Amino acid sequence: MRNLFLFIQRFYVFFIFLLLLVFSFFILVSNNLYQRAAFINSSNRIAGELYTVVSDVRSYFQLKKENEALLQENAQLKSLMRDAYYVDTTSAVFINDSIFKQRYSYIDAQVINNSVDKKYNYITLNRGTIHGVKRNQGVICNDGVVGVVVKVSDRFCTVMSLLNRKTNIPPKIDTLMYFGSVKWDGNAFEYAQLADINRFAPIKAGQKVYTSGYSEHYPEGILIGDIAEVSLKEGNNFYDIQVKLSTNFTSLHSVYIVQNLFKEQILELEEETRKEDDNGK
Amino acid sequence: MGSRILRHIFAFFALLLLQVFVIGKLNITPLIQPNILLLFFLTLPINLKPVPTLFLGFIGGLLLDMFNNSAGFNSTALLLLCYARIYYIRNFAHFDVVESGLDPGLSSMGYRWFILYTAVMVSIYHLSYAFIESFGFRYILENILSAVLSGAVSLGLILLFQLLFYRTKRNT
Repeated sequence: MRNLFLFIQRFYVFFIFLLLLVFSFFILVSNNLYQRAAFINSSNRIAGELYTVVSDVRSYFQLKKENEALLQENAQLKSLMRDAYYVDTTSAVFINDSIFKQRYSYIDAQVINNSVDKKYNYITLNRGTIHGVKRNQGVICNDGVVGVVVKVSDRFCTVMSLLNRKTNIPPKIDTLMYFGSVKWDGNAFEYAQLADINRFAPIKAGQKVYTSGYSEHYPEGILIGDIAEVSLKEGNNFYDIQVKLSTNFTSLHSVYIVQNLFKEQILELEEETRKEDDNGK
Repeated sequence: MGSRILRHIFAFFALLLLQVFVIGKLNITPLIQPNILLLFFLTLPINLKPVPTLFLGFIGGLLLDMFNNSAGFNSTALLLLCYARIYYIRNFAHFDVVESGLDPGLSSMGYRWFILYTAVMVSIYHLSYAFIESFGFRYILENILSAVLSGAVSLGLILLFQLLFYRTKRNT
């Protein structure tokens, strides 16, 4: 016993180092293995407030561009309104909208921190639980997909950017849904990769990639990008596909957080089915 | 003594803010990610005891991780840097210098010693950071290239800061 104490006393620096290293690794692994940000992230009060101040200053320099983008979107939305359509039949019957049930609602948010040069990029937004943000809600912008909310505090939330090696979005190419997924390899921020697309699928460069209805985070048909390059290695069953992203992550400012109002129903149903399956075995 | 501790605390927060809001936002390429906060850990008093050194590395790393959303990356890499620093100073610093308790720097330790010391520490940090970030050995060449490039930029920045801000300290 005495020898043990002497041993520990002699190498105590090493033991303390080891202890801290184990703790560090614990944080690291718990962050990496699961689809979530760890308990240390920038959606807390201090980091959030600081990022807000800096982003307020920075946003002044982008006001003009931001205004133009909003005007454009306004114009686009106006053209979708019923007033914009001319009714060219005399026997039109308008049915009251009780058959349309709202499925998605959107929360507007500002980006207060963003990065594109890491392997795991995260975005911090100025919306939190008091605005109705929850984990796993999708985030989109005018141009396309942005990411998924992974951590929420009272007034801020952290979003896993599409530019993150953990990204995994089921794609729809032009009008067809495919098994496969949009991933990011950690290199160029303009390009994502489309993985696990079977070699027999008719894929061409120039086709558009959208989010599919399989996704639990995004509405169907949100643009992800254009296919820029399709290649097939000898003997491979799957294409190597580069997708040019439609979202410009370097100048991201206004985004929308998607609330899927049916999500709980869908998840509940899936959970129930799974349970029944398990019981049947 | 009190003013010296205050100076180090000030240096830590100044460098942290600089790293988070300026250097971390440069977006040169994904391969080059310099870290100026290393300067704080390199210039801690040369006779600082091992245990506080390790804890400073760990906690400083966690603070940087909080801003970068990189939980565990910096705390591990900076912990390794601090552990290496303890042994580097034990083996390569002259006994008299350690006794004097100076802050290591270009002027206090001499150009050759400090540049070599910084180069070794910076490469330990950036190598471990690159491998921790990719979480395995799948991208070995890319990681080494990234560590070399980031390390070179960090080294340059650290020496520049030494020349600009730490020069007058010999007189005080």
